[in-house]
Amino acid sequence: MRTPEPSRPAPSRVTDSEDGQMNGDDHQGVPARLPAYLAQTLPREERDEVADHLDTCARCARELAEWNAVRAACVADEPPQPPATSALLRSVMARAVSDPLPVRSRMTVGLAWRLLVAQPALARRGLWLGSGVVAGLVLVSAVVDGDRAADLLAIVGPLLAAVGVSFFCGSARREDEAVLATPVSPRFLLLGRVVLVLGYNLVLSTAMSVPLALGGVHGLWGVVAGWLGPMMVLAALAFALSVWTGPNVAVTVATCCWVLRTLDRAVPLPERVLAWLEPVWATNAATLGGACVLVALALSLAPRTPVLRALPQ
Amino acid sequence: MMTAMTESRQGRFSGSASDLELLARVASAEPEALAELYERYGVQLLAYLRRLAGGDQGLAEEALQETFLAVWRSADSYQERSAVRTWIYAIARNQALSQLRRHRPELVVLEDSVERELADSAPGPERQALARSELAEIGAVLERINPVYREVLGLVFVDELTYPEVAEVLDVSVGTVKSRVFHARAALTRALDGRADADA
Repeated sequence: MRTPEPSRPAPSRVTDSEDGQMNGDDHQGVPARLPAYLAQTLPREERDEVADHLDTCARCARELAEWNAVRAACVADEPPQPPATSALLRSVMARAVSDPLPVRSRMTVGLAWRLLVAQPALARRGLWLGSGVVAGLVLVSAVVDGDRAADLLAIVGPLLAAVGVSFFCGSARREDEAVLATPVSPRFLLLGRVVLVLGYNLVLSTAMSVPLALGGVHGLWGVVAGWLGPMMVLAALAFALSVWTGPNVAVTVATCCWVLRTLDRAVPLPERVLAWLEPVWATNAATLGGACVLVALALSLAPRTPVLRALPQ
Repeated sequence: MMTAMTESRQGRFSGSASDLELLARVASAEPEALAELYERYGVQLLAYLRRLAGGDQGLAEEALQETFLAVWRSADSYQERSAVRTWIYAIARNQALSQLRRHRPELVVLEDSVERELADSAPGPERQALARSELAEIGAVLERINPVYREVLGLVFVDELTYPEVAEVLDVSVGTVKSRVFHARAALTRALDGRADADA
């Protein structure tokens, strides 16, 4: 344990702050760094910077004295440190050696199933309701114009799926009740969640496609092909980004991609650009397979066991 | 800058294995390496756990034992996203909270409530200077302020973790750590003022 910073003498060259005015620019962010300065956890350059400032600023020197009092109370408040007991160590080692199996190997089919069915309740209600409401709107618009309703489904369906996947799967990266409460791999939770959200949106969109196909001229596959490929690609992209960076980045990137895609329908683009873009959003074996590969890649890079926050109990 | 991470890689204790090397040996199922990590951090972790457990030695020792068991079991999943010491502190905190929820739920403070408290209470004029207060007096009010504030002050001043390390242990942003540290001081001042008013 490091020794506490000795009390500093009064500033020798007081130039400001006796009026008590705190100006962030004048104080170079020193007040915010005083606790760390006192604990001697600042990097050397910052420590020197704070020390130089304290020589000239009475206000910050007074603040330091205040923090010094707080620090002294914290350290004094600390109960006498007991020695590490060999009995405790023996007990830890006995359990460690006699029970060396990693907890994750204890996952059972029953536990996996219970975790999976518990997932929907952990998602925000809006995630399920949003897709349901949009499905209702598509149905209503189908009464007016079946073909336009199919276009609407093709535009809105993929984006909703991507947003749902981003938020539900992105939240599993952080401390999560399910992760904390059970010896479960985050990979399993991520897989379960992406299957649930994507499955829900696939079922809903398919259900919407049936009446649209009956009332339009495209046929069922024509309607489904309008949204299936884009939904899988966009959701896979959102899933990978939410696992690697978090839900906000995933939603932002997916939305931007989808806005560009929608624009390319409305704005005439050069043939060469279209030749690159169209295959990405097509519904065929290559895009569906690519989406699955992207999901598998994201899962393989997710931690096998929880890191930092979620630990085997 | 000598960060905790580089410190950990180079070995905090000259002439002995670095934390990273020890953890790698723990991941290879070497009980001696776990014992060495325990010798290195057991005492300060026990002190931290006692603070979290409101001074309950039994509960702290139980959490400590669970902590090192968890280290043993999850060492192979350590991904160097934080220093070994910070990683172990985070494990200890999780184990302590788990024990407290089971045995002393009244000591578990929902962190959301602290954030609300922070939003509701802008620091007012500080009437009583902490520097002029008696140490025992500050120590007494320290016991009464929100445990979340007490914890962050302990991590900064007693455990001497950097702000980024505290943020990792508590799973909050560095900004939140700074905010809690300053509100902790304001809470201490308010509590001291309350005592002064009561005495008057």
